Amino acid sequence: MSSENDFAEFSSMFERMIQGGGDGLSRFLPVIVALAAREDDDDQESTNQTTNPRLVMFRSGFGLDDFISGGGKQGRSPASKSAVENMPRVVIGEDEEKGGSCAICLEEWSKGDVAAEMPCKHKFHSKCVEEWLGMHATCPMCRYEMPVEEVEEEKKGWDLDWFLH
Amino acid sequence: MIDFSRVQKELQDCERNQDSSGIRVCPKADNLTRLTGTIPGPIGTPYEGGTFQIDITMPEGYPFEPPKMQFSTKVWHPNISSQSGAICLDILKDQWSPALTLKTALVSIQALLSSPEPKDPQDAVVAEQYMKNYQVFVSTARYWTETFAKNSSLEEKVRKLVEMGFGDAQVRSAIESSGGDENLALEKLCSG
Repeated sequence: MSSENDFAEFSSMFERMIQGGGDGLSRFLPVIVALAAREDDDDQESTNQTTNPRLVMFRSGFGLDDFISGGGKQGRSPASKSAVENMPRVVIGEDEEKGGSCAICLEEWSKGDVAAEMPCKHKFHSKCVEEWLGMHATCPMCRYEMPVEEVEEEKKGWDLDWFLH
Repeated sequence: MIDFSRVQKELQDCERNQDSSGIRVCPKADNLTRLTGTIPGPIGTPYEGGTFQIDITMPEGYPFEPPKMQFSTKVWHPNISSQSGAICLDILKDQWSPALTLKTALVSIQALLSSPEPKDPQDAVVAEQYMKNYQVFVSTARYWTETFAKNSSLEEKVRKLVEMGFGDAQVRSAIESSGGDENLALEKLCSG
């Protein structure tokens, strides 16, 4: 079908733009996003999905880096609320107490303090790490990636219909 | 709201552990929102022998947001603007983590001085020179270190300008706002 040829033509055009330093590419992002979304819709039965998580990439400042890599999502998205709530709360014992501290507020642990333990086993004050995870879904110590809050992301995305019609 | 208790702890830590790195952090004003970092130029680089000052501004969200850092000493380096001192370093942007500190950020900047990344430049002119004419880059960087980053020469610069008849405080602020550039400071003093 001709739409497939169009798509191929667009793809090669964007490829040339990226190789040429990406000038002007950002102007076409709505088109790229809409095309990508349309592809998705073909695959899925449900077409009443009005937002698409990929739109986040378009919205995040039109950055070419964001667009090409598409990565680093965990670094910039909040962790899922359930993952944060499900972290075990552990009582600081004598081992941790010795010279250890919460790496976020730098307060030394006292025996009996309650800390949130991430899946990577790093511990922080609940209050401290919850504030961070509310912005970035990574461990402050080792960048272990927590699940991201998908619902939040979709809410922030743009209305797909806006691009398609 | 800045976590001042944490900033205070960081400063105490820096003072307590004055190690061989020579990296220091000092508050500029009483409120701890503006500080000055000092890093010695790494040995074996064109920055050796220089002392580099970094302007630090604490954002409202510290430590959940990275501190804003830029060189106030002029420096010739592919990842540092030769004009503004702006630094291109991922941990000062999207790779920041609240487990990093002012000290570790300054250590990273010192490491950046040792290993430039010309393919991710802040200053395109310097980066191009680094890649196309490395020897010229080295001598330019060394010349800038000699001219702008030699610690002992600050008092010398002050003395010279004071001898010309300007006030001591006025001279120091002009030198500071010129990033240590003696001639620029003189221009400022004359026009001001």
